[in-house]
Amino acid sequence: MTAPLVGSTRRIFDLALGQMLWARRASLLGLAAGAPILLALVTRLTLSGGTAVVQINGRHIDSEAVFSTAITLLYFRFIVPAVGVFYGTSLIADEVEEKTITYLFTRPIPRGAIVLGKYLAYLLCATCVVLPSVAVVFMVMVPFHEMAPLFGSFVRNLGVLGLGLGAYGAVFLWTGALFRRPLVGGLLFVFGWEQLAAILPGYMGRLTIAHYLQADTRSVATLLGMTIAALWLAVRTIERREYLLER
Amino acid sequence: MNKRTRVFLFAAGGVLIVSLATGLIAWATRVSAAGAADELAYVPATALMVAYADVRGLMNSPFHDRFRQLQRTSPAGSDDLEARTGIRFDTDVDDLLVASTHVDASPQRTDDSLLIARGRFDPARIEGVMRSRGGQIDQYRGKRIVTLANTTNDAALAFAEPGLLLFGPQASVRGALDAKAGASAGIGSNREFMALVNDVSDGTAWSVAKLDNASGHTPLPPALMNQLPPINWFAATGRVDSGLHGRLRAEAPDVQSAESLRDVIQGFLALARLQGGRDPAYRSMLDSVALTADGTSVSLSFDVTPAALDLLTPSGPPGRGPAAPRRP
Repeated sequence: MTAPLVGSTRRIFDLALGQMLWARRASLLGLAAGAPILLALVTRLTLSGGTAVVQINGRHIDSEAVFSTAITLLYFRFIVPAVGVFYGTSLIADEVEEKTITYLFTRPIPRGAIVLGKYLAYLLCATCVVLPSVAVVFMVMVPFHEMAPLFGSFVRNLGVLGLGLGAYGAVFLWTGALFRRPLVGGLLFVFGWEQLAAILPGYMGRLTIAHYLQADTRSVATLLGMTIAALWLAVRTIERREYLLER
Repeated sequence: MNKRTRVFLFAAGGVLIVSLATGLIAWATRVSAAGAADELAYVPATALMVAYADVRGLMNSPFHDRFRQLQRTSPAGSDDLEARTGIRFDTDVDDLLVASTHVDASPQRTDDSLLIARGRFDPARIEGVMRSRGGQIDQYRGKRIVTLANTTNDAALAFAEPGLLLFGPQASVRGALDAKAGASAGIGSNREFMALVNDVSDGTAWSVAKLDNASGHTPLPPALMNQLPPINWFAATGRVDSGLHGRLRAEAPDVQSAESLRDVIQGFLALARLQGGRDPAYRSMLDSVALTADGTSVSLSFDVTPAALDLLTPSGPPGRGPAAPRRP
């Protein structure tokens, strides 16, 4: 007899959240959150001290423009996909690799609860690190009197980053449930295919997740649809698949 | 969930809440601090175009001195205003806001623009000038209105507040007083319009216009508008100091139109670079151009540096001729 899905999901969530936040892998998250803050501090001090001027194509770039560039290049192009791949693929694949998935499977809980609990723990963990990091970068980079025009785009960016973390995490959770070593494939996808598709002409960009990291209705709906579909496929995979653990 | 985890989650949530609250305060205070906030209260909801200029800031800027060397004739509109009302644009006006229910480029349209000017006016002198031209004194919503209505003129002038003057066709001036009194909807009720105003109102001069390709109400010639993807809104802002830092923003109805518009502008920029790339004055301006697209919004920013202005000025850098006197 198995326990209800919601209760089981919550127990797995509690267990996974503690493991995720205080594991060695969390140093990656710390780095992802801390590096942009450090960069923002250095840039802000440099710009306000007048010791350097950032220029692109001969045009002076102010703190607002640096903030927008940091959001696009650091968070959307690098941090969100990287966190999604590293954490998403590890959620199930690490349990298989370390042969500990047996302990979870032998508990009287639905297998879907393992996927959902771990995914929700990942989502909370990642958003609680990445989004405050963006918030600190915003406050460091943008002077108070210049915040107003950027506030709307800042809030939209927070939302899209959250959705992006959710979509990348769900897709790579599914690949982690499907393949034994999904990390290499995941890295090739986000840092190979997605970068290539972004510069290819035509509709190739639509075959990436990064293409939908935008604050418009179609992109948001696509990200949500992608997340739900990937989660459903992950639940279905783990419920049907027999994991043969090597001795 | 252990205590350490709970503390971490609360700390992360706290950082997010503090930053959102800070941004919200900045946004809220900016709305009330916008230079044209008081004047906008007189603009009716039917306005399709609003343009604002910090006249004092513009006149006192080094850019203005340089610009006078390029265009020595004063704007025709200011002469017309002085002839009809006795208001000296250069010396009397501090801020000027123009609102219109038309954004047509066609020359045969009727001019229904409402001028809202803040400055130092001499009501007796201005009323005297208008009365000498056949003006009549009237009262509307507790304000004195001087109307000048005959076969060639339909103009009215009202001192709505001390130092705040409304000028335009009778219907526009009365409509402005209605909007201020709350008898008719003001432009503040149009959230889409105000969002664009808030985005551009930090400039020394700015403008927001609602475009309607279907009815032909556009500030650009219809022949050009027909070549462009559909645009719903157009906004422009410029910050003036020793140079000019400008930003143009167009709001397309959908992402696809925005992408098409960006591609069209990119094409124009490429053509401009091809044509003017050899001229250092134009090259520095073209190098400063930044084109971005974010959802349905396409923005183009540019800088006209003092060095570029020197190159554009036939007589070279300023200092070779008399500079305009500074305003108090």
